[in-house]
Amino acid sequence: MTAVAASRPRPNLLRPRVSRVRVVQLLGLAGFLTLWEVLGSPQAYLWSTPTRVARDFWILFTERNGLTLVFNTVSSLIVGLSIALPAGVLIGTLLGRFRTFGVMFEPYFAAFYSVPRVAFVPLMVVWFGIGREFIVAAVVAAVTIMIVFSTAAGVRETRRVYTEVATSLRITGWAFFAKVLVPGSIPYIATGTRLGVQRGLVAVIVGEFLIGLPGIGRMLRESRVEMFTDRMYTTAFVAMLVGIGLILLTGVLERRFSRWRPQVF
Amino acid sequence: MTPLMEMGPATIGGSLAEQQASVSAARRLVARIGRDNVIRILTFIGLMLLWEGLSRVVRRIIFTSPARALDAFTEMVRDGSLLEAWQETLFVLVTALTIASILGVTLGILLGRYRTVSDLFEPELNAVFMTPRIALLPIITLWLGFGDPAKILVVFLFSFFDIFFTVRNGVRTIDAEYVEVSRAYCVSERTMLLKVVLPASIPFVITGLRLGLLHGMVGVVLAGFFLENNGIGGLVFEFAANFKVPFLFASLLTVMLVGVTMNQSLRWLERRVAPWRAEAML
Repeated sequence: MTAVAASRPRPNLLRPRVSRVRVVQLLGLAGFLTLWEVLGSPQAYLWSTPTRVARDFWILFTERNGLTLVFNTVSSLIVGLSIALPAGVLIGTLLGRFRTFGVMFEPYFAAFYSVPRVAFVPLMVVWFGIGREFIVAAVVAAVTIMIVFSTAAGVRETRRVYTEVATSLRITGWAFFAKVLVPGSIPYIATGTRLGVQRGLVAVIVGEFLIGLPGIGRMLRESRVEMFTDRMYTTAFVAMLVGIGLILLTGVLERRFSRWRPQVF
Repeated sequence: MTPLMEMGPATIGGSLAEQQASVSAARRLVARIGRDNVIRILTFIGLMLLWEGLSRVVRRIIFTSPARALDAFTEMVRDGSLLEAWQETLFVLVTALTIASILGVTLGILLGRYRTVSDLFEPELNAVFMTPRIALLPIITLWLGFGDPAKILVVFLFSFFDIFFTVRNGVRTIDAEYVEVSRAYCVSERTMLLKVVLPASIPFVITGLRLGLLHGMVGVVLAGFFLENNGIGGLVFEFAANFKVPFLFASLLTVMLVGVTMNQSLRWLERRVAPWRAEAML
């Protein structure tokens, strides 16, 4: 298909093709939902149906406290991020800027990067108790390392590319740091943050799921304990919406900060 | 190691002065590597002392010393509980990753190559990819219960998308570069897939497998938390619940050890297969 598209003049073909794809995608989605409705309804306790999920979704956000639960989850994530971001940028800058620091600590950071950080959530419960603090700590543990390595990569790349130009223009010392290094690394930091936000959201939900703190995680826990099928699907749908929302938001920020350079990674 | 070996030809061909210069450069490099190792060892000792010091200050019920963690580790090795947990975990991980990599690589190559089919499923794929996979856990329990099949599905859902998206996006970049040339030589579609797209996508496959493995580890640990409490995830969960902190530390350290080993060996493979991409991603 692509070959056919490439061999013909582009402007004529591009626009209708894009909208046709959208139409087909929408038809596909409608077909999927219809199929789910038809096949699901005889065994709704196992498969639920789109209409049941929609009804439960409506109940959750009008009669129940769905919005508060989502707010709890997202706010824990944001508090954790506001600690993880400066910490990660600081460590990452040290790692990218000073070779000796890298020699000393990089193996430990690399080890921490390879490990599933959600494994540390129970340890955070032991350390910080069962309040919100342990969830914030779990987010910090999960997210910081993603930002550390992307910042370090950004700092190294910026130094490699711009040091000679900057030196020849006599931009050194503090000015180099503030005018070259920081703006040069921001796109990398933004990418690291976008990846980190996904992992951080999982950490929050896992924490709430384990302990039962109010949030998306508790919705999962309760729906499972009560064997409330529709609520399971609704919760997954809510988690999907939150996930998509956060990714779109960080994607917008990422593009906003890297607008001046066409490609990052 | 490589810089030293690269100096070889230059030394043979060069004058005496150049030879001496490169020999002293080599010495400096050796000295630098030696110094780095000294720094690394000192850091390690420093961190261990810090850990030991902290363990004397912090309350014993929530923290532990290196020696007690080591004792816990040897005890778990001796009574076989660690081996049993890792056997269970690795069984789930390997089964799920095998399925995920077969499906991920095949679909990645096909959907990377045939854009229209890919566009069709794009919204659904992206939606699941952006969903925190943990939110699907109650539904999986509903379908498959708490045992190994459920765990395998959880790990599959964690690792499949990393493999699939890496391979698919990789194949799309290949498309532009090689496919036009092959088409100019009138290569058939079958040959194109087997002789052009498949070999060129191997680096992406390895990167995808590495990312899928790292994410699959997350899945297998979470499966141990929320499904049957066995495997390494179950071990971590139970030690934390019973405040057996030295054992908790020891089992977390084994998780780190396994994670690092897997990541490093696949990174090594990545560098061997595609050296030009070595720095591309962590």
